[in-house]
Amino acid sequence: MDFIRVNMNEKTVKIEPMPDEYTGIGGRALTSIMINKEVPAGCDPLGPDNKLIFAVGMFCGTSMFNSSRVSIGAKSPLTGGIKEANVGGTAGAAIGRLGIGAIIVDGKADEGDLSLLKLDLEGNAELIDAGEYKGMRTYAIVEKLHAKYGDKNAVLCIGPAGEYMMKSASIQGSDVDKRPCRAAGRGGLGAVMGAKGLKAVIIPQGGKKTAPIADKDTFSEATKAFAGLVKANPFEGELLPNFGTPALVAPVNLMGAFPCYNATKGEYESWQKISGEALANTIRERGGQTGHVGCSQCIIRCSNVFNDRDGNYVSSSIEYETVWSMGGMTDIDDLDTIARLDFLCDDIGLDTMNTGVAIAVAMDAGYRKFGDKEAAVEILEEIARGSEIGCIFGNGPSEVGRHFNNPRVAAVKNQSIAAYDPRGMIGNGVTFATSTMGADHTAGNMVAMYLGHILDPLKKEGQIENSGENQIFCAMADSMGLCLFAMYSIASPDAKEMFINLVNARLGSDWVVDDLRSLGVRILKAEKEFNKKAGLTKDDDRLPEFFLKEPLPPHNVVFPFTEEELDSTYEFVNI
Amino acid sequence: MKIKIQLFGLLGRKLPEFDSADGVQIELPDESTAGDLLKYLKIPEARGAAVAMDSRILKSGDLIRDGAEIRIFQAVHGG
Repeated sequence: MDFIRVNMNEKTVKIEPMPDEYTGIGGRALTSIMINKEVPAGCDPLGPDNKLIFAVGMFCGTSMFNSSRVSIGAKSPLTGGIKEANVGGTAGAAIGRLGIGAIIVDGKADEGDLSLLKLDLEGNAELIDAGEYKGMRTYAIVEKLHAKYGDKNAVLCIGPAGEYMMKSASIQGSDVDKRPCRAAGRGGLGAVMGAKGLKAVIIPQGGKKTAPIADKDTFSEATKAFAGLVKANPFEGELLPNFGTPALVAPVNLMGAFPCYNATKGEYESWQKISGEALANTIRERGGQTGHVGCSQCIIRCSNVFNDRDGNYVSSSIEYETVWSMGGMTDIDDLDTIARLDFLCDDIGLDTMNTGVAIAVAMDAGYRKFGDKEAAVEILEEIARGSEIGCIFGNGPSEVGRHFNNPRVAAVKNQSIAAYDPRGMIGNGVTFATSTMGADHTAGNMVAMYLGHILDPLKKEGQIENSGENQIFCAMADSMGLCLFAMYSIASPDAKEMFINLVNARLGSDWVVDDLRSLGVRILKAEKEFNKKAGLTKDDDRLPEFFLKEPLPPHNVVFPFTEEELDSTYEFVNI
Repeated sequence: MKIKIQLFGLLGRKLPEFDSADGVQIELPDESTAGDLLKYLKIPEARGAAVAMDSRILKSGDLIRDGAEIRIFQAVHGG
């Protein structure tokens, strides 16, 4: 496999073979280990020394189902630490098929200078002036790029928020239907891309240079077995294709852990209006689509297409986290508005979670009333304009909290929590506090352990250990190029054995099951090392004070862990 | 005892006789458990059904309270 190294100062592109030290790793493993090695930890995240790395996972480009996740890594302008956010859609599979392991972008273009990076079927790449696309929103630029370069190309791009280098800026990826509705949302990676002067990456989808599979027969057999596991699982096989991730609205509310009104209550009285069931019914009534295939080679079909009352497209891939941040947190109990806000975030290039929580913090401070739908839309348009107030909102909830003097900001390392209150699901609170990424549900979500009676969500027993193990698992999973929902199917020991056969058939390696955990530990160790060098300390691994002091209804409990207990979560990395 | 149940996810479609937005009232023997309720509804626990009462997820052996409002849904991994 090759690396593409792009320098935005010199406007040069170099192709080089992947160094031996990175052989066999991909995705988050590659981005985090490379960043820890190559990026000066004290650098300005928006300066020339930071590197923006697009790395495909081990299975990208193969015939494996759900294998189109590309990890994007850099030093985060939001958290001040290391960041990896991965995105589905079409880019991961397309890059893998070009035989490219990673695209590494460093340097910084002159102010106002904007480029496209265009890859070809041979795995070569060139920088093209993108002045004509300056300020363009993501749906518009993807349409233009498809018209100019062909609609078989996958696109990764930023919107105005990225060009303004806002800390909530996302990198959007095009889906199977050519819409930029998939997001590497977290950590302000869109701002890093904007600072580099890179507006979009264009990747042809028809490549035939996937790195060879070591044992094709075993790979094919194990892939079928893996697919059987995924399809047999009630969540992946039944719930997701029917309701998507918003299926979580009901259970999390019924556990009293759905943070609403800026995390002052744990059960939203209007949750049935915005539930997965309500969303699916509305979508079907209007001729939209549930069970939508958003990502290349997807067999789970968790995506959706939401239409307005007249049957016109509004948005796609409306996720549970967005329903929460734009719905429960802001008391907007109207699916049409939530879908509109989802679209605007994709179009402007914004993390829906950080942005929704930012709006909720402002509403909590009295800037606008909870439930004010028009105000939420206006705020997003202010962000798109880059106005003074728009920049405050575009930089996320911590900056909004400082501006409005509201300390009730549900964020860790400046990154908003996701849709699980740390007082109602205390293990998720451990993950939010201690993750190297800032508050991040994909770093180690515990909800399945609660619903499966493995842990009590309100009792301390087992939470620290399981959050740690979960974070190790997710770091490993983020390195495979596979959808996390598919990876959840390998939780059992037998399934892990099957998965190891798949890895070994892919690489020609002799990994054993324990090597999966070792990979996760190696990744987290690299991330912890980087964060330490960047100046983050244990004091950054803390939840905001209000989670420790304000009891959350209906259980009326606070987050119970001491600082020492939190610090024990990462004892396995010994840093 | 009498309880009210409400079904979510695909459970409502699989058990249309118990599917109502307002919930359906049913009668169970006194001291019935969450597991008894799932058996009554013919929902296999192995399919990851979760029974919620008073904002808590019940274990199979947990007793159901007379007059309770019970919500039943399929377990999920994460959003």
